[in-house]
Amino acid sequence: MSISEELSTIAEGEKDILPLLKGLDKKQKKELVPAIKKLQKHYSEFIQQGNTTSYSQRGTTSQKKLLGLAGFVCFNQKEFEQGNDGGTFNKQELTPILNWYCPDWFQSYFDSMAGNEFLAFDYDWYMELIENGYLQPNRQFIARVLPGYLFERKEKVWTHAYKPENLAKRTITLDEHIWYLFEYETNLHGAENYMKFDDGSQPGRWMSVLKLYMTEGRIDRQRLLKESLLAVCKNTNQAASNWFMDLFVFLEPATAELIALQDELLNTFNLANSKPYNTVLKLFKELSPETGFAIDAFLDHVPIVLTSESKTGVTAALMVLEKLAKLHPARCAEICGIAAQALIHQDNNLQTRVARLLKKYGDEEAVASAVQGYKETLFSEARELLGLAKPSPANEPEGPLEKRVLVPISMPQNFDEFVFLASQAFEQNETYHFDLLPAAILKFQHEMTAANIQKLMPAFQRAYKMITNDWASTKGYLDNMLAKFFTSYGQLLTSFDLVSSNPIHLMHQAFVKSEEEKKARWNGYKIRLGGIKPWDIYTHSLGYKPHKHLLLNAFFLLERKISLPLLSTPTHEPCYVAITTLIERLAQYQQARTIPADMDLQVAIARCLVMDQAEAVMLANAKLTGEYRALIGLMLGEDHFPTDNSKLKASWLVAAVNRFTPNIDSKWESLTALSANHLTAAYSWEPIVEDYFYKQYDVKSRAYVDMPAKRKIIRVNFGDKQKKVPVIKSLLSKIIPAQPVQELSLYDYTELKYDYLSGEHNDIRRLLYLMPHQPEILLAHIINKGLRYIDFTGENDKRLVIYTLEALLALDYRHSPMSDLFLATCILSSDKTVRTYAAETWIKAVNEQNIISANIGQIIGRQENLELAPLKRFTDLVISNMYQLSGTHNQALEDLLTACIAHMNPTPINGTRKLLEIYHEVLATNNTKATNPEVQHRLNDWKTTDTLRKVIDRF
Amino acid sequence: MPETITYQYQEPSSLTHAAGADELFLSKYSEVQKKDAPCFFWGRLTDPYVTARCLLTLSNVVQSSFNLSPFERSLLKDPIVTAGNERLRFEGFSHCAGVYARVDVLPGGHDGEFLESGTTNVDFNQPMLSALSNIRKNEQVLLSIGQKEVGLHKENEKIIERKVPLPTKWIKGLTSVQMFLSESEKVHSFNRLQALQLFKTIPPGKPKTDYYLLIRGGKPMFSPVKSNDAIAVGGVYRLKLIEPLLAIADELRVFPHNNMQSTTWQVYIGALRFTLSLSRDTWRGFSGEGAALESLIDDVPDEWVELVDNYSYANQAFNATLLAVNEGIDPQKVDQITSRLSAIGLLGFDLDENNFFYRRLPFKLSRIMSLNPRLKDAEKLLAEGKVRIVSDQNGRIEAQVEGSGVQHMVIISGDQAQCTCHWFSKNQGERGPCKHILAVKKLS
Repeated sequence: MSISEELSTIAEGEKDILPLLKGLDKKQKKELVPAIKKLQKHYSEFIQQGNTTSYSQRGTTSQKKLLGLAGFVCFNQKEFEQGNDGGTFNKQELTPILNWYCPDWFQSYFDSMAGNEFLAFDYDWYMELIENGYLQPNRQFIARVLPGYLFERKEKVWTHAYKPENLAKRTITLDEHIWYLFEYETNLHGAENYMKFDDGSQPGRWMSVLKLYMTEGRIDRQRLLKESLLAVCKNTNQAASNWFMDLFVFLEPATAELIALQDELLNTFNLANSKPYNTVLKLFKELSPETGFAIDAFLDHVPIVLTSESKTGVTAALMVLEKLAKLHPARCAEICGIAAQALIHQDNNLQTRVARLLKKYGDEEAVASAVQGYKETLFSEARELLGLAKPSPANEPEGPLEKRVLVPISMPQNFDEFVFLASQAFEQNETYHFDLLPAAILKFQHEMTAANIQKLMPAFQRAYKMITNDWASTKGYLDNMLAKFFTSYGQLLTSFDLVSSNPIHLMHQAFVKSEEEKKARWNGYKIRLGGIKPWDIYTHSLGYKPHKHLLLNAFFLLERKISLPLLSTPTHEPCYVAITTLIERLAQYQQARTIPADMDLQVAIARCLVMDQAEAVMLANAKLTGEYRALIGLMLGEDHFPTDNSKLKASWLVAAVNRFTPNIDSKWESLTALSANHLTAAYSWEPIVEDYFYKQYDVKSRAYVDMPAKRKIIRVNFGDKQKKVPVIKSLLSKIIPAQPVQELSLYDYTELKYDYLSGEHNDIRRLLYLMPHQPEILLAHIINKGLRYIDFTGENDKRLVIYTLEALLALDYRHSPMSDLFLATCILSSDKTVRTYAAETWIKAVNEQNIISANIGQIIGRQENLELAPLKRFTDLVISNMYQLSGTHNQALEDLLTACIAHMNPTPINGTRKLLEIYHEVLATNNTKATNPEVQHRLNDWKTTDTLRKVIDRF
Repeated sequence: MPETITYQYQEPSSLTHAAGADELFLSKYSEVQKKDAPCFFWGRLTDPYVTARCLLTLSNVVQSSFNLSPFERSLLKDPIVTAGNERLRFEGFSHCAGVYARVDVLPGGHDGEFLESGTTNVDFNQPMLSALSNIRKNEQVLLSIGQKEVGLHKENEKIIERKVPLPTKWIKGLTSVQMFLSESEKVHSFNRLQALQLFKTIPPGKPKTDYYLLIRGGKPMFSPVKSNDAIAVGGVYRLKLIEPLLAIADELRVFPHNNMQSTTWQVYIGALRFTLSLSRDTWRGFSGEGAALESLIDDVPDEWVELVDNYSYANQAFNATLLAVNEGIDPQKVDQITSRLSAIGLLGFDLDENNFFYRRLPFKLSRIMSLNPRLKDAEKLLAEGKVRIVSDQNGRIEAQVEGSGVQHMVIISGDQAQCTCHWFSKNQGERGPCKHILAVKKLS
């Protein structure tokens, strides 16, 4: 029997392997390597257990163990590392072997383990290996395994015992090894986490044991103190750093010791983590009167803390500075200069503290030079304390407001430009590429020669890939829709002329084949190819219909080879159609005696921009007649109404709503079945506390159970979309069925529908750009869906709102109750980017005098009535982004805050004090007083709260 | 298996405490330097505390990663240092190669001898960094880059070897970041107070949207809203890397790239300068931007490399015109010399002095040349005969390049080049030319 066979037999019979291993020479060991690997693989394979559904490894524990031992004897280090599953490498198994064999890689294997993230090893055994000459000590290894040596796990019960005596077993442990703990990153700070003790020992056992042996004189006290401080500042993790700081304090350093260690203590100021220096500052507060206190070094280092984010740290540092100023009158000017650096914090308490210090210890000159540079940002309390004049009114925006520069969108001028547009159209490099592509195809439809089609092939390939590839996170449903439109056009071309469009035909066949293959391979795979006509989104959302209608209209024209332009193609960024261009385009339809597509005209009107009214009137007079002229006239301020048999009623409605919102005369309502509220987005809303259930695992019943809970949400009440039909009329309609059907308008189609956001956020800008002057209906849907829970649940929700804000900033629109609600809700949202965007939108709107700030404040007040979101989000935003921008903005901010406070709950919520401080600040800046009766009422209500009384008294 | 590079250090870098002065010894290794190369610098640091803070910040940059998982983070890449012309420059990249950092110790920041000029990798190990963080103000610290006395090193002592995957991104980043720097100009200068105020407006967390630096009400701030004169910063939270330096800074200058493809932030502290450059987005490294590709279309003649090598010393300002005049190089080619040399890792850029400086990367030239996959792909297209010029008239070239399954159209007209491929369609040339355009340019 060969040795390999012998090994197999031993493994199979789970016999003692040591006699075989002991008898192997070097050559035989090498020979055995493949056999061991093979058997290890065999026994570690997972196999089905009988006819059950459970799987487990083929080998028993002892089979795997004996193969592990064979590996230890025969493998080199790399092979051993690959084959060892951890079960073999322990004292019990290896000791009998080490007596007669120790691999030459033993040392380097241990050394390589020292840096491993997880290292569960026994210090005792490691030391025995060293003592028996198998290993040379590795400092890092020792440091990593020593923390566990203080505890012993009791057999069979899951508890541990605290064993301080373990450390005294070997002299070298306390003499030398203990210091390695301060040198390397170890788990010392968390060594006893997750352990249970029933021996009465108290938590903090490592600290206790170090103190114990220090008291007994086994550990040098001075070194221990110094090493723990040095360990605080090492680049180790925060928890370890804090632990060493706690250890230092736990050792109760005496004054003289602290004096001797000042340099090390000061070094904690450089840490990003504030806990250590907060502790050190507390110590310094006591230490500062001592003669040995290194005032120079302290003053050198303290600015880092004064400008840090930790408020506790800044306050503590100021306390020490105050003490020093008291003790060293000659250095007061210098100390004041340093303390003033804390004025950078936009925090009333901190600023006031600094101001008091400056006032008490600085002379006029010192104070003046110290606060130079901070004057503009001082709060009134600090300013008054220092006797400073009010800052000059914040800079007004320079000159007259900049008129938005309209950037024209250029249509491809030749076929090559069209080719480059087609290749990038599905990337959404620009939102208007969606409109430009069909328009360009219409323009160049008569130039589709074989050579030109060849140039378009990369674009066709891109479209096919877009349709058949898996969903990408940056794509929207509109990209898919556009790609399907383009491939449908390819099919149309092959139906016109198969010879010159043969490459398209071949490409189509190839993708059809690959889709069919996928279907054959995966059960349930749905073939993704399909044309524009049957296109739909899985939610069947109406919101996508206008875009589909636009593309279908283009396709209709292409099918019939009609050379008329689309009316809705934007002429100016991001989505506007210049009225003069619309007139020219309509004139072409008029000449061709073709009625424009309904949706195309509606969108064109909704996107229309009047730049030069007189010029537009002149052009309309020259080029248009009849209903077209009248429709354009309505948009230009003239008085017109459609005739009863008009085929363009929906377009008339759009023109009227666009012009007259929010005061739409009821005569226009006859053009639609929609309710008046729906046309102007005059929806009501409320913040409410909603009952809901969530699933929680119940250990006892071993099942998920419904748990009741409450959450705060914003609910928009859309009410009835359709007008209420009088009973008599509805009865009549049943008797006389042939009522003319009212055309559906853009407003019928505006909605946002999804269960979870998959690609809608990537479409939202293009959806908003259908009605750039009137975003409020869609905004109501966005609030109801995307901001329903004010804290975002995922990145896509955030993107939906950010893209909306981005789109709004690019548009000129009338602010309305819904856009105000959207903005106010964004101000309270959990994402800083969203909040900043909202603030910027407010700033722009105030600049343009296009917003009533009190409305925003009122909404925030109503929302905070329920404490929908932490008030701090709002107050922080005001300080950092909305205050002191210009006199106009300060005035608008006052209106906003006044309305907000007036609408808040008589019972104050968290953060009210800060809100009042800011309000007081804004009033002081504006030189006004809180005269609003509702605000006064509210202040009286709140005055009963202790924490608010002081600030209210200042009003 | 990725290609690996092995750093071989004679001994680890260390900060040793001695009576009177500490000594910061930086161990060096370059795969192109001669063996037994002597010490580059030996001398006293004027402000060791600030130097230590800057080096720690650099090590934080080197250890950071903004688009990768922490995997392989232990395989820390070592920064490189260039010593010469009275300056010490330490350079490094984040793992993702989207953040470039450099510490310049200017004349006045040291008091020592430059025994030899050159560029080398230096060992940055954890114990040395821990020791650095304990350097305090008013300490005496000696710095030596390389072993001053050859022979001090004991024979048979084990050489420190660290094998890491070849830092391809690093090397590529180092060959292209200066293109971005040279196209950047100073727009803002802030004092310490303003800089601190500005950094307080960096939003918490890791916002995925771009932020813009603008001045509002006289104060600098970051806002997510794009406006005309604002500086675009993608992944603004990456700036927090230099926040610890601001408390001791004299000044912060901001240099945006002329196309907003990067921003550079320089912190001035006495005779030290810390430069931090951010790529346009967190997911874009300087390495993959293809900024240097255009310059590599034509091969760089070996004699140029030799010339520059022979006539320059580390950190010396590079003057292409002078080189051309002295060496009789065709003046028409002078414009290309600088960009070509920097693309193969022979030049760096100093924003304050507004000039390129010589520093030869401590990596084999063959490695550097093999790092541009797009260029290699373009060469492959040409080798396989997949490029056909359709017309070449009046400065307008139209070509057909075979792609996968389709023929791409490339049109080059004056400065503008366009292609129908996906890469170009998506990036519109912002991230360098695609392989099809490169191939056509190389052929024409």
